[in-house]
Amino acid sequence: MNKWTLGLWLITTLYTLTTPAQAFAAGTAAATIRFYQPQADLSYQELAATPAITGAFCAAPRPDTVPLPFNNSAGQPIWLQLGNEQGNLRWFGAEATGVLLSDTVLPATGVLPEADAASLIAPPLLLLPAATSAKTGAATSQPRAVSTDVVWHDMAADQYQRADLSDLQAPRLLWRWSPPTAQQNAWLQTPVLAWLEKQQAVLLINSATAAKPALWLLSAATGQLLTELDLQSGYRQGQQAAVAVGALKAPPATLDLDGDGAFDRIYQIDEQGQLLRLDMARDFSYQSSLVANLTGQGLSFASRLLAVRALLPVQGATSQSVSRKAVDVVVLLAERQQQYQLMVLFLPEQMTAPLLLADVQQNHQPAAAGTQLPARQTTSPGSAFGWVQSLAGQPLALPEIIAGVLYLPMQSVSTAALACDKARQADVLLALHLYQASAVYTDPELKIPMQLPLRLATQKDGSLALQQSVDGKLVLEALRGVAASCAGCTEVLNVQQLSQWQQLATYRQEEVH
Amino acid sequence: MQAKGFVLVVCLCFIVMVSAMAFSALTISQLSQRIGIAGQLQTQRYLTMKVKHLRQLQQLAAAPQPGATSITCPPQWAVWSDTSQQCQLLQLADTATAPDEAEPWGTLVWRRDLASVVAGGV
Repeated sequence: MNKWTLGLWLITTLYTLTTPAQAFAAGTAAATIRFYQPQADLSYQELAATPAITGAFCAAPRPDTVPLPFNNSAGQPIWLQLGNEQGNLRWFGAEATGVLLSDTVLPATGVLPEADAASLIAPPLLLLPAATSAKTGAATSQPRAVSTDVVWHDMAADQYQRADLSDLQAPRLLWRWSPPTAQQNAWLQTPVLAWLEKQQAVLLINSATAAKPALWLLSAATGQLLTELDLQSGYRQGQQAAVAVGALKAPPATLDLDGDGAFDRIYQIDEQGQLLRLDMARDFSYQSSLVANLTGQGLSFASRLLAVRALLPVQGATSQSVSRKAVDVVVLLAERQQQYQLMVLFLPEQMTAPLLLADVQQNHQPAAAGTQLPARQTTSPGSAFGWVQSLAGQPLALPEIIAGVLYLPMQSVSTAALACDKARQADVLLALHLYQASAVYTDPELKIPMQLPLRLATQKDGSLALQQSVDGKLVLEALRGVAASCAGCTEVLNVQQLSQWQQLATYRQEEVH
Repeated sequence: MQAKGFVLVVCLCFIVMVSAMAFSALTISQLSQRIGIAGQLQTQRYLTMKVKHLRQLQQLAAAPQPGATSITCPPQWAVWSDTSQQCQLLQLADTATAPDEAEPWGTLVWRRDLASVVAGGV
């Protein structure tokens, strides 16, 4: 055996010995938690010793964790579970878990505090698309892919942070921002992502306090405050009397009216139920008006708003002529003593008076499948103001509208205390016609046990289905959407049909000779 | 003799005048006929081009087309609430360089881009 053979044997032996050691180290890493503390220079430093507050954390992912598609150290796609535990950003992966610690010390509870139960409906953190990163450039026509940047509210320290988790061994703090006014009543806020001109991403954050109701607009890339909207003194002059705006706990919703990619309308509701419409200009000047007053029944509005732009048929002067009118559809979740109500409002452009709760309390029980509109709505669907539905359970996610059908996963039995090691398990899927509150499937409340969150998937025949995100288990197949052929019609959705090019306008070009 | 010459001249002038009027009338009618034919041809061409254009629209595949821009989806009856959903806007217009071959019709078409929605969660 010469010296080269001996060297090769040594190298092979060392490799054989070290490989199981590395594998063992990777295996043990799954049991360890890495703790990172923010520094003054906006960096994270990994703590050498486990902090004393470890007992305050959940051992397993909480029900309100948000799944993030992620590539592990070997480049394999995995799901990373992200959670916000009282300002501490947790992640659970197949290889390791980690915590970006808050500046403030946690109370050692170990279970979900009652105030965090609302975060089961709305995710307690915001995953940013890749286009919001300053390093990737602003304008892009590509689909907005998900990045590994996370924005969350550190409720204990009353600040908002953005971190880059692309390298879980060395997370980077990109910025942190503290509201100019301290919140009197701490309330977990999830920023809302919206887009300004030239694809500039902004975050909308509420002041939860009623002392100074305000809405802050932050640059998502830098964390700089762009403007502050003082909602107390921002009423449209001369048309409506000023009304005291209460605490703003529900994250707002934005709309793009002209299709230029930048939002120009905000809907905001206070805790008591005063719904404001804010029409924004490019210079952040705005006009606000009270479009709905849903107060008076002790309902609390703290869930995130959902606003979409829809075309409603409007009966013309003659019985045959039907035109379509663009309206804002606002979906709300209200709660009173753990009893939830789902509200859908149709808000036209011009409103003479704010909508009242009595105007929309028409449908308390869901109609059976195929049931036509009530006589008042059949004759003039555009004059309907919306509907209210009492929920027989606790919503576990925000409502979602797919092709005109509203879906809401619920838990039939409300749970006041939620253990932190239980998955977000729903057993009822509410599916209603958006405009008529009628059942789209066999029953308005489909009894399907499911683990949230859900995702849309295409079947082999081109139809759409709802699946569990975690394992792809089928929840509801052959999804239906509303059809324009008649008032209560629905049809099975097909990807090929949905992706068809649709004619918007045909025009004659000017000829130049 | 002078009177006969005067009458002859007057007659000749009258004949010239009537001939000029008849010629101008003929010219005008011919011109209007040509204009009419040209207009008819133009209308026929417009209609032919429109049929051709609409046929092209029908043959437009559901797949993404080059030149389409990403926009916020317009209001619709079967509305979607996913904020990540984008739509594509395409302007189908003539690209011919010769004026005679220029297509006089243009169309704006849009389609829903479901790629990001189907991949995302509900």
